[in-house]
Parts: sequence; structure tokens; C-alpha cells
Amino acid sequence: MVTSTLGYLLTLPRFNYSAPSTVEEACSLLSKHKSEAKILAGGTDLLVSMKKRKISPRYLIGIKAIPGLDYIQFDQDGLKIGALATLRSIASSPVVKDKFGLLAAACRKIGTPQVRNMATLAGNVCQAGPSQDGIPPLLVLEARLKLVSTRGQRIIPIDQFFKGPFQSALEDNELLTEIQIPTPPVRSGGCYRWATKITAIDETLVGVAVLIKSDPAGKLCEDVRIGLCSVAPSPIRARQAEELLRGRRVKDELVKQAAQVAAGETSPRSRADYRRCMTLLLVERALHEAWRNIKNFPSGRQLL
Amino acid sequence: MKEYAVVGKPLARVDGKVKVTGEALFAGDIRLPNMLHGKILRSPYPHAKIIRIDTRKAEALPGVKAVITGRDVGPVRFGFVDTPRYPADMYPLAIDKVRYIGEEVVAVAAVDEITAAEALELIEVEYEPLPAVFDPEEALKDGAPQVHDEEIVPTTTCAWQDWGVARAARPYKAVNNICATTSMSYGDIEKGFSESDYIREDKFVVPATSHAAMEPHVALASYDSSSGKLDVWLGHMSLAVKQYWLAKTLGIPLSKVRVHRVFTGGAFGGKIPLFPYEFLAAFLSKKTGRPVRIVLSREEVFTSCRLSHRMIIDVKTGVKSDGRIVAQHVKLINDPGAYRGSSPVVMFLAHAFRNPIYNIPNWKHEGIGVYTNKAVCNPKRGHGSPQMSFAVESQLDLIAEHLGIDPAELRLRNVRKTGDVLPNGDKLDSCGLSIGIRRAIEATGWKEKRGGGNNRGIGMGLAAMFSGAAYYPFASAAIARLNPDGTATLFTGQSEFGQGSDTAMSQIAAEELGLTLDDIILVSADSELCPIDIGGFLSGGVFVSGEAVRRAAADAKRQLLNIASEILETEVDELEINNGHVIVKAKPERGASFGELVKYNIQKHNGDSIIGKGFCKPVPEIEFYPSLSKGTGRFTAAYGFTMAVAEVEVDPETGKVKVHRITIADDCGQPINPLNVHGQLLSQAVMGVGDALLEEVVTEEGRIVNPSFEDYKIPGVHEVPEFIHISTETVEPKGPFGGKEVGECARAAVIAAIANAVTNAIGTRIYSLPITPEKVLKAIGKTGGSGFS
Amino acid sequence: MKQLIKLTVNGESYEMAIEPRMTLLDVLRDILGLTGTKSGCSIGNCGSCTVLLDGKPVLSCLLLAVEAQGKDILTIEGLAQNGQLHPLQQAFIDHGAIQCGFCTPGMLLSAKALLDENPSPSEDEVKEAISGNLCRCTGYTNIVKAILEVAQGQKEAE
Repeated sequence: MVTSTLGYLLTLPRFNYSAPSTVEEACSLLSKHKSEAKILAGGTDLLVSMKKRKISPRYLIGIKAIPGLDYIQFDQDGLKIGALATLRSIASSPVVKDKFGLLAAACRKIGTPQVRNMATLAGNVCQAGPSQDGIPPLLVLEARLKLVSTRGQRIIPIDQFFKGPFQSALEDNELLTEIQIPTPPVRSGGCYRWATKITAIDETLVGVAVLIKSDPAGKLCEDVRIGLCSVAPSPIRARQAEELLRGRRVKDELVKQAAQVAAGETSPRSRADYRRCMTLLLVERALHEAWRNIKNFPSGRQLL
Repeated sequence: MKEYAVVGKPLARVDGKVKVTGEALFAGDIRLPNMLHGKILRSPYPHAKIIRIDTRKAEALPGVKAVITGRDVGPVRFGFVDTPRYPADMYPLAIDKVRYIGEEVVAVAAVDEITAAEALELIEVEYEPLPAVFDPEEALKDGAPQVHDEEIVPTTTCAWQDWGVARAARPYKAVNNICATTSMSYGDIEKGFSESDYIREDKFVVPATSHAAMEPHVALASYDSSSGKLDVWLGHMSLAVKQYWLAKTLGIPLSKVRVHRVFTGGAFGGKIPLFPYEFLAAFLSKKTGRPVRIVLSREEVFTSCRLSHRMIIDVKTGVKSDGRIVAQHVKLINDPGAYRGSSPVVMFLAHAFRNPIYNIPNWKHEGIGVYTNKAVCNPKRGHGSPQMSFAVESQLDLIAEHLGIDPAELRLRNVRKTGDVLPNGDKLDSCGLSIGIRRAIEATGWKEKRGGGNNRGIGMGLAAMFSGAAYYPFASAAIARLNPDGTATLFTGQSEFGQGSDTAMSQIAAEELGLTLDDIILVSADSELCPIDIGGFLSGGVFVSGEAVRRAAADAKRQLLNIASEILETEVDELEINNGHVIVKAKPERGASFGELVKYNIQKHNGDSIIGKGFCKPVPEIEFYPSLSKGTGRFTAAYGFTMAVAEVEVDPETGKVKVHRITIADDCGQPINPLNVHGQLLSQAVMGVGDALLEEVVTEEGRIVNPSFEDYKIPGVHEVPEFIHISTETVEPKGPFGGKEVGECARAAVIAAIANAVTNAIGTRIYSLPITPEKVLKAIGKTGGSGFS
Repeated sequence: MKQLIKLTVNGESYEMAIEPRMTLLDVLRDILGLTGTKSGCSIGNCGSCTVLLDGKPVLSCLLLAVEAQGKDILTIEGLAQNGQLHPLQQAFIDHGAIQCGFCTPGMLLSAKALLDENPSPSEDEVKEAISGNLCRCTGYTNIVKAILEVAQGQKEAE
């Protein structure tokens, strides 16, 4: 991998290209070239990094042509999203909107209409950046990632995937083929809220995903998960804030307190004061919204 | 307002069809046989000596046809300003030193872009970094690193001399990094302050912003050694400026430089002077004997293609208790970056554009331009007016608040009126200030809304703009050629960069000749085919070039009527034009078509095919230019005015400002095309939102950290407010059919209006741009973060 | 190493030998001479390079040409049919939705993709459809109006 001070030219460097037609083929190419190869799916992150000369992989493995990888399946185990499912297909999928609304909302927020037609959620996850909107919903939904290589496959929980900014547990020879999302339990409500950096269509300044579960009486928080992006080197769960809420009556005071604790769990590098302030605001609002999302359907039907 | 047949009608623009089909050609769309691709190696240091450049490996790369450094080009200087007092200070390629990150150091021409890029990677440059200075106030101090430590010695005549001013260029030695100074005054400010009932002094800071036109900068040059001719295709705002500077820097006769017609994809002031990449494309073409195209990346556009001027503005104003301004003292520090850019001009204009607005009996305006090791600044839509208007209009509201006078009322008590003569001798033959303010107040429900509440606010800003000024080539000319089929071909040097000049010029010609828009065939923006023109960056497109067009059409019409009078055996004053025919008023069935008249004239008058000629100077009474440093002398013959009102809502929890509505009452005289006028004003309303709330070129240690649309955010469709346009229905007697400028006045007024509206909403003022959520929260006491970025 | 690829652009088939590093934008402009699609930033931020791929708007600056094979590519040059302007093109002219024209091809294609999928969009849906197309000249309002007018016209025609 080569970095260059000529990033201002914004030109693609030369590379070798293969378009495998199966996952096995793709994996064997990865095995062969290892760190000199990169998987090209949507291209909206990879090709930009290459044009900026942040990376110059010698081999690009284009997987767009592999059939049967763009699925969005829902069954009794939950949601399964294939590596090539685009952000747009996920955002507009009826089952995702209906049952995993916070994921649909996040996918809909990312980029622009053109980007969403090209970029994949899997790519979003593998980018492993601090500001990827797709990740907080996956964190709170406790998604699992299927990683495939020539050696076989492994499934890891998403909270073990992120090692640091743009660093993940994905090995050089592995391909993320599927994102598995268990169906949230009954009496759950969720949402995704965000603030952008400057304009409406812009990178996320603070992203908050919440999944909250009430007791049968609808008064106590039986469980809560809060996922944040853009406020730390990697997307995080605000576990202290979650602890504060678990098992307690959901009241305005407590929600505000939890939001404050969540803001304290952040470690933003830039615009730190404002990010903390916005984290506090958004976590508070997200908790209320997620809670309301349950209350509207007391019949126990899971709706997010 | 008078009703015309073609002028004043919202006709579809003449270049609309080619633009919606993708047929419209921009400079980057032109392909020439055997074309090479050029790329530029840029300085990674804000300030460094160039010790050694080794280009051998790059030259040896297959496909590379030329590699040039500053030594190959030589000490050729150019710049936006090149006067006896301020000789040009830029080189196309740095020679001994680099002075900002992004400065051009080496250029390469190769068979394709990737080879040129790879060649750059093979070039070795050894630098010796020098201490750099980034803050203008630091740069002024003794002992600060000197950006230009050597004397700038002109090696040729300066542009002013070439243009006829009988004063030789002098060497310039920057002391304490000063690149330019202005000092203008009128009346007696000490006396004025002593007579004031209330005086206040405030400081305002405006950062650099980017033009961010959608088309990146590009130049295609083709030099033919056998004819000695240079053909270029460039994005630009004036043929004459590009032609002159290419001729001068390359040593080619002016008439052998042809700037071809292309559409420019937006300019806003960012494509006026000669740029290094344009010179380099031509130089490389001369060297290789092949056409060379250099396309800049978006990042290069952000870092190396000029920004709008950074300013620190200190305003001290004295008023009577009824709000009348009696004295104003402005001290301005301009930070144009590592080269002078347009510094003396912007400092002059920061005053000159405010002069026509308020009748201030005593004023002093001092400006100092300071070199720093940062990217260079040039004009941007309003050139000094946005910065100064933000400062002065903000302070006016502060004064109004203190005196307990409504800010609109305060302005009404101070604005100039039609007939006023400015201290420099410019006369306001048309001035829609008062009527504009009144109409804007009425349309927006100003009085009721000023009370604020609900986190909402309403604010006003005023601005003024010239309609052309004396700058090379000092006049516009046009040719109207009548054709045997009854149409007319119009030749004008005005160039179309989105502002609608192709359409406006055609409408003016059609109106004068009594033809329809479809009957006008336009030949524009080609330096070989078209007469001289002041271009589109002096805001004189309608007032000067349009008037030249009208005169050309009138000349053709006069000849037409003369020949008609001959054929029809009637006096000229008994004839009139109707529907492409000249008819006898008393007997309309008697007449002749334009085509018949042209053919008759050719036969009867020895081949005279009826060609009309017209020309116009921005200020007929003067030669050359006013004094930039003293502010004396006639400047322009007509001013446009904008009265903007902004209505905003501030979210007290996030600090975000939403602009609900911008109302603009604009005085552009008679609109030549109301669709165009509306488009220019709406454009500036949205651009103003960007300046007021979103945009800032952020520099850290001389490095621009947001050189992309990812990080530098311009307004998108979701940032657009509701927009209302009100006409003041003024007519400028000297303009063609009463028209004057419209393209760059409103931006300043909108910025000021938004700043005042935010203050009305939150009850406290922010003294710098952009007004970010953090600044708002800090102002209302909510969170940390600095008020000045 | 060059690869032989086949692209279908505006209904026509083109064969060419290109390096895989060539984006669809490079191929359209430099090889096929279809310069209507513009390069505004080359890293996917401005939308000037928008083309339709199987009816969906994508950024041709971030799509390798080799990966555009087997798809129907529509560029601005393919919008007018038999010399007849598409209603969107006419509406842009009528509503003053064009100034410098650089963003116009991308805008038109984003708008066409919207109306082909959703013939009666709300104003918010129109704005969302063009939210990935930057314009520095017009201030967007007339573009939105033009698109809504065509949608209305299509609705009335039914």
C-alpha cells in the first residue's frame, strides 16, 4: 500500500482488476494477494480513498457481479442482509422499514440518492470509520457478521468488530458476506437520530441509535441499548447510560440523566463541546422517541 | 415603468436548449488531435526555499513530453494588480521560494493524465522550510517572517503603462509584510465625532470563502509555431484580461492570441485574472508543439485558485440622537495571502461600494493589505462589499438599538436619494434605496415581526454595486450586422458564465431593431470575431456592454431607415419599424422588409451591407481609473442597490439557524429579462445563506483543511429559504432601456440581513462569519467554543 | 493491462479496450465523446457526473467502466428522443432553472429517475431526489418548480 502527497490530484492509481463470479473465487483471490488486495463493492468509500492516494491497492476484487449477494431476507431468526444489498434497497425494504425502522432510517440518511444506489451496508460496516451511520443501529440491534475466507467462515458479534478508527477485525483474507440481525424482542421500540456537521446533506456530527424494551406494564425499562457514532474513535455503546436506565421507571428526569451520562462517555476529537452538547440532546430525544414507539402499540406487536 | 416588446419580457434564455441537452461546450469538453495532458506539482510547505529540483526521472518516463520548472519559465511576473505603485508579484512557477501550500513549482505535459500524475511522483524537490506567518496582525509586527523579503523589480512595463498611463513601473519592497495601503477621507472626522451624540466602535472578522463554481478550472492551449498563433479555450469572465496577460507573459502579439468561445460553468469572480495553469498550458504547448490541456482537481481549485478576501474590520461611527450618521472611521486589515491578489482593489471597493448608500458628511477609510503564507485572495461576487456591509450594517443595528430607533427607520434617515452627488463626483441618476426599504418593510410585516419572540428574528441589510468601471480594455464595443434574410447578427465580446448575458445582449439588440429574439444570431465571446468588451466581472454587462449593443443596433437601424427613406421616398421621421419591416406611418401598406432593404443597399450603395457599430465607456468623462489608494476620481456612472430582509428562526438547543424567508427589493433599473434578474437575486439569496451561516475556508498552519465539497459545504436544496423579489421600479436614464447592474449587489445585503435577523432572534450579536451553531450557543450562554473561529 | 469491455449507452452498444482504472465518467467523456456528463469534483460530492444505470441515478466518477457492463446507461445525450426535448428539459428552460448549465445534466437525470419511479412526488420528495446534485448558480427553487410542473402535467395527462 502506498500513500502519496499528491492526493490533491484526485486520480485513480493503476491497479489490477478481477471480477470473480463466486464468493469462493473472491476469497481465494484475497488469500492470494492479502493486504495488497481490496474488495470493491459500492466503491463510494474505496475509490475515493484511492483517488485521494490514501491507499493504492495493487489488486481490486470487484464483487458486484457475484449473483445472489444482494438479498434482504426475513424469517423467524431475524433479518439477513447480503453483502451487496445497497443502502437504498435496505432503506426502502418494507420489512426493514416495518420491523427494523432505525436501520432503514440510518441507511436513508447516508450520503445522497446516488450514493445510496451504489453503496452497501456491508461496505459501510467494513469501512469501520467513526462516523458510519449504519453502525449504531447494528450495534443496538446486536447484529452479527458472517466473515468468509478460504479457511471457512466465522460469525462474530458486531461489538467485537471495531478495533479503532478504520480498523476492524476483518482479516486480509476475509470477505463480509452477510449481516445477521436478530428480531428485537416484543415491546421494543427504536429510532435513529442524528445531527449533521454543517448542511442537511452532510456527514454525521453525532448519530444516536436507541433500542428500548418496556416491561408488560409499559412503565419500566426492561432493557435499553444506546449506540453512538461520530463521538469516539469508533462507534460505541453508551453502556453506563444503559446501566442507569435498566430496570428503572422511564421518567423525564432519568432520561435526561442518562443522556448526560451518555455524553460523558464520548471522546470526540473535534468540536468536542458541541458534540457532547448534541449527544446529550439527541440521546434524550432518541430515548423518548424510542419509548413512544413502544407505547403506541401496547398490543405487544413489535414495531420500530 | 415603460413597456417594451422584447426587453423586460421573461423570455427563455437563448442558451437553454444546448445546456439541457448536454451539447453546450465548456472548456474541458474540447478535444484537439494530439492533445497532451498537463499536471502541476505544488508546494507542500507554506514557506520554504527551493534548494534543488531534479526532474530527470520524470523526463525519462515514457509518455512524458515536457517537464518545466521556474528556471525554464524565467522571472515572468503577472498578477491581478500590475500598476506603477504595485507591480505584479506572482510567477507562474516558483523560482527561489514557495510562499503558500499549493503554490505551483513544476509542470508536466504527458500523453495522458495518469502518466502526467506518475511523472509528478518522480520529481524530487528539496526544500528548506522557513518560518511562516499566518496571522496578518502577527505579520505586521517587527521580526515577523517576511513573505516577500526581496524587492519586487518589474522586468517589463506594467499593465497600466501598456494601457496608456504615462507612469513607469517602480520596484516594490514590502515592509512589515505590507502589500498595499489605502487612505481615503472626506470632510473632517474629528469634527464629526466631536459633534456626535453617540459614538461606538466595533470590530468584525470575515474569513475567506470559496467561489465553488461547479465547473473546476481548466485551460486548453494550442500554439502553432509556424503562424505564431496561440488558441486557448478557458473558463473565464473576460476575454480581454486573459488575452492581454497571455500575450504579455508569453511574448506573443495580442492579435495572435485567440480566446475561443466556450460556456463557463459559473465564475462568481473566481475566474478573472490569468492563472498559472493557463500560462503553463500555453507555455507547454509552445514547448511541445502540441495542444496541452490542464484540468485542475476540485482540491486544487479550493487551495490554489484564489479565495475571497479575509478581513478584520474596525468601524467607529458617530451619530446624532436622531440617528443621522455624522462621522465614520473604518480601519481595515486585509489578508490576501502570499501574493497581493486584488488587495488594493478590494480595499478601495470596500469603501466605494458603501459610499452610495448612506450620506455621511465626514469619513475616513484606511486599509492595509498584509502578506501571509496562505492561499491568495481575489474578487468574489461583491468584492469587498459583503465583508464591509456585514460590518457596517451590523453596527448600524447596534446603534439603532442603543438609540431606541427602528433599524429600518434609522436607515431611511441616512440613505442617499436620486440626484445625490458622491464625494468622488459620481451622481446617482437613479437610486431606489428609500422606496426599496419601504416596500420591503411593507411586504414582510417588518414592524410586527421586529418584536421577535418564539426564537424568531427579522433583519435588514443594504448594499450597493457599480455598473462597470474603467479597467482594461476600458470600453465595450459591439457590431450589429443586418442579414439579407431579415435577421441580424450581433457580435459582442461579453461572455456567458451563467448570468444570462447572451440572452440579455440579444434582447437589447432585438428591442432596438424592432425584431424578435429569434431573429438575433449571436456571435459572442470570441476574441478574434468580437470587438473589445469589459467582460462580466465589472458588473457592467448590461450598463456598458448592453449599451454598446444598443448603440450598434441603433446605428444599423439608422442606416436602415435612411435607405428605406430613399426607396420609399419618404422622410425618415415619417417611417416606423414594425415586425421586421420599415413602413410609412401614414400608409402602413407601404413598406419594405429588412431583408429587402439590405439587398437594395448592397446594390445601390456600392456593396454596403448595413453594419452597425456601437461603443460605450463605463464613465464617459474619464480616462483610465480612479485612485485606488486615495479614492478620488469618478468611479462608475450608475449604481445598483439591494435592500434585503431576512427572517430566521434559531433553535436555542442546537444553535442552528434556519432562514425561513429572504425578501429582496432590488434596484437594477429596467430589468432586461425578469427571469434572469430573478435568477440572479435568488442565486445571491442562497449564496448569502452560505456566507452567513455555512462557509469558511479553514486553514491550519497554512494548510486548507476543508478543500472538498465533503468538508466545505455550500447550500444544497434543503438550505434554500422562501424567496420574495420586489422591484423598486426605478429607471436608470443612462442605461440601455434604463437597465443597470444586478449580478453581484444582493449577496452582501443578504449576508447583513441574516446577521441582523439572528441578532434580533437571540438578542445578542456575533461579530464574525459564518454564524455557526457553536457561536450562537456561546452567544446565548449555553456552551463553550469560541465566538471567533 | 487493458480489458475489452462492452457498454450500452443510450441504447447503443460500444466496445472498447480500457484500463480497469477508467471510470465510467472517463469513458463517456474521453472515449465516447459524450461530454454532456460533467466532472465537478471526481470524488462523488457534487452530483455533476450523475448518469442513470438501469434507471437509477449513480455517480459515474465512482463507478469503474468495467463494472458498468451489462447495464443500461442513460446519459443526458439520451434524454431527448428523435430531436424532441423531454418534458423535463423543456420545463427547465421555461422555469429559468438553468444558469451556467454545468449541474443541469445531472439534475435532469436525477429528476427523470424520480418521475419514472414516482410520477406524483411531493415537493419534499423532489428535493430529496436532487439533494445529491449541487448547484451554485440557480438557488434550486426554479429547478424544484420545473420538476413539480412536469409531475403535475403527467398527472393531468393521465
